Amino acid sequence: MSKFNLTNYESYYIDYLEGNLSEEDRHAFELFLDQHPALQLEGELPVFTMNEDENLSHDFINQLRVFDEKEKVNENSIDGFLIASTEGILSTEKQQELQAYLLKNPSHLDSLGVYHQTKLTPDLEIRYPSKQGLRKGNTRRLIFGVVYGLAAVFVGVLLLFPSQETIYHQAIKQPVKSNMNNLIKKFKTTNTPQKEILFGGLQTPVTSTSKQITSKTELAQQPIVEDTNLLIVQQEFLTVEEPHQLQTISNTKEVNNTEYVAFLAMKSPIDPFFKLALKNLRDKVDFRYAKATETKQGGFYLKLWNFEVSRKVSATGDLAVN
Amino acid sequence: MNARAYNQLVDTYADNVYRFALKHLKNEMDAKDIVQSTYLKMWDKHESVDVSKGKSYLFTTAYHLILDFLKARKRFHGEEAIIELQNEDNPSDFDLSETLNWALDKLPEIQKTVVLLRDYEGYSYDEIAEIAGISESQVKVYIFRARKTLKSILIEKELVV
Repeated sequence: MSKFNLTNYESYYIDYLEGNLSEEDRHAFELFLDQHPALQLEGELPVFTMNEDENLSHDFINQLRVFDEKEKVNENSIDGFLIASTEGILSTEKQQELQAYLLKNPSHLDSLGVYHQTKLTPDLEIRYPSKQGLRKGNTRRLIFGVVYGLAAVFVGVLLLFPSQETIYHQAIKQPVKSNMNNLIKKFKTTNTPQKEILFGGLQTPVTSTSKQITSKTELAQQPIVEDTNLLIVQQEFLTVEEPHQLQTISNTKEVNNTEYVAFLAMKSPIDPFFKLALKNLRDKVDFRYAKATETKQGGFYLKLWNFEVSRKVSATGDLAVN
Repeated sequence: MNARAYNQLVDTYADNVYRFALKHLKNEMDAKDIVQSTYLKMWDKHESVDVSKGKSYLFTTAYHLILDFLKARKRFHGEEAIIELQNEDNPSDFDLSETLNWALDKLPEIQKTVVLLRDYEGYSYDEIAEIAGISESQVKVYIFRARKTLKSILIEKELVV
């Protein structure tokens, strides 16, 4: 009985057409086809042979190769070695072997050049446009920076004036009805004992942060701005280092024995910081101080928003604070 | 990793990640999205990410986001639209750099990735393997194949001898 039947003949058909069946099987298969003429292929049988020029291309095969450094440098492996050289992963020994091969076969030097040109270089002009938006912790850092900065100023001030004197806080609400003259007159006529607070700061001239006051007249002419505070301290208790300013004010007859100096004449040791703070925070921040000497009193004035603190240091150990 | 170290990674590598994404996606807005998402993911994990691995973490994350994005785009627009997008900008005849970038788009995604990481970022094969989640030998195979393809395109375009 033939081993070919209608269920399995297809699997033998290709072998039959390609001549891969044994002689015995070929006869048996032809006999089977004679018995089933419907299965015979009409016309000329196709030829399933591959010509030389239909073989896979060298490039295609080359693509499938895997680079193995242990190989010898030859026509089949040269591309791999050229790329490895371009990549800089060849050992010294193999690099020398490749160079020797290229000396004998200089036509491959062009290929080496092309492989070098396949290396990409980034376009550094392409930049991520909003790097700032990716950053974290900016707001928190700014807030902490301001808080720590102010705290450092405050601590610094305390260290500058170490004493046992009391610090007084005063919320100043009394409005000023007239100008600076009134203020000064008021204080001049006040029968205030020495070593006592003369007044609470009320209003501040516009130019308070920068302009030097050189005379009482000029001081009196300063415009008044509401909601800012002024601290005038009796010169006896609190003075400044610049002698000419003190001299100008103290020579005024109106003042007589009671010499006054506006806190405007005090200097801020870190003026740029407070100017910057004033500019950026748009709020009332100020710091001034005058250093006490053997004969002159000193003190400081610090204002942070609605919080004010001032302190006087007396050369004789006396205390006067507002 | 603290905020300071994270911000240093922003300053140092945001441009690199952006270029990497832009090369894959060919769209500035999409590339920016990838950069933002990459850094967002890093910040989410900043407590567990080692600073020394920061750059690697960034590119690994960006690479996976890019793959996800490309898959989504393919699903949404279809394969033809992607091919059309890639073929949009034919290079001018004599510009080697432009042609090379154009040829880069002809490479399969994985080959493009390994070549970009190698040439743009100077990563070693094992680092690229870690980022792309493949073996080191696969990286080598992909890079070698990519170079051969790029070489063929350059020769075909007669831009090189």
